Amino acid sequence: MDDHRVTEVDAEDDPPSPTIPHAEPASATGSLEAAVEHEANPVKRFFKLLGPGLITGAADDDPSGIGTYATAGAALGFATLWTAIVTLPLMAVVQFICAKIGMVSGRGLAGVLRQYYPRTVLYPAVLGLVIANTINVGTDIAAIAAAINMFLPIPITALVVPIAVIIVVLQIWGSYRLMARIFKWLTVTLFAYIGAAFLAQPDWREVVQATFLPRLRFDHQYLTTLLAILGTTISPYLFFWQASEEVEEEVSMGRTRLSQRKGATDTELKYEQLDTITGMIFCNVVFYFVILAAAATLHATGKTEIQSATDAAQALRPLAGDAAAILFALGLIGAGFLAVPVLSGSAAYAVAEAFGWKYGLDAKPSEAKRFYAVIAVATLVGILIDS
Amino acid sequence: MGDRVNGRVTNILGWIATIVMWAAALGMILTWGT
Repeated sequence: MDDHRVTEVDAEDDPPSPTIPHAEPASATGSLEAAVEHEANPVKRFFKLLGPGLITGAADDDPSGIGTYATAGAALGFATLWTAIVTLPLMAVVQFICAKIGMVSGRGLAGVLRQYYPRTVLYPAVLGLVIANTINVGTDIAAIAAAINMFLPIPITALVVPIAVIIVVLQIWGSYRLMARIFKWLTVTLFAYIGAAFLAQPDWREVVQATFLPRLRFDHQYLTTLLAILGTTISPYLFFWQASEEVEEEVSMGRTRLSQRKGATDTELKYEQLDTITGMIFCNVVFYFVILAAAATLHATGKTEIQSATDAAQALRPLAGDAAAILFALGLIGAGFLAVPVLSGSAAYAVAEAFGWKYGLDAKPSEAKRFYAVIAVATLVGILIDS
Repeated sequence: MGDRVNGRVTNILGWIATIVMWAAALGMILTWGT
């Protein structure tokens, strides 16, 4: 079979099964297990098994998320630090369930909804996802533009369209995997918040208390901040993306037909659990330290409102001094370029699976026109809404 | 339902996440525009 993309035929080639598929996927295809077991170096082995889980975790710290965490730290100090601890197991479990659904059923979430649930469940779920993702795409592209504007004197409005075009072109005619390989390293700059938080010398007793013995409040500002944190952390685009990426991983191993993808071995599931947990720990470590750094620098000096990216960058001043803006901008650009394709891509996966279209980020544009059209339209509408 | 069902801990945490997110969504709707 030359066409290695997920096709309509795949979606329909097996009758609905009343049970969860058997434990073993079809043999005679490549496997992560084999690749990992051949690696003698334990560190390299660990990095080899990181895949969709890590990328999903990194994409969860998108520019909107960073802005939310920084705003929470500036406005409320350490008061919301506990949310990073409490949400970690919830996120890890939900992401693992999504990954498992993708691995065991051989379909993405929308594909599973299409197969096993009525259209009255499928269409509202997909529509809600597309609307939320489109708005988020616009916000994240505007944040990338604001980050570039911090060191290039080009108006933000003039940067938005070229950024959107670059991302769409890279997704359609380039390779998302190549983009992810490059930009995931830029997100490492987000670890600068850890250094900044330590250098700001917060009152550690207060930090530990706020983390593990929080005093809950029920005022409007606290509750709306909690809502914003939960909404940006546990997001549907990550669920859909995770499941579809598991399918893409299996397709790239040669499991091009649904019957080959169905099922997962115990080892595959164990590796996936490690991958998702690692991704979520990465996400929440950044999340925690952005709040902590913002609280220890901005809130501590009476700056409780963040009006711009430049304001948010000041949280990195203890670590980077005058270079804080550049460090912040690099992190935001990396996070944005990693997250925007995840947002538009997960919308496209969901729509394509819901309607049984061909899809796949490794597919040529001519092979999956409607899939790529959704990516382009979601990005374009996103920047129009945000402008 | 086969041997790929979720374990007890996964189910409990999954349902907690569901309840928390429903509550958050409800909170967002109730506080919309304020």
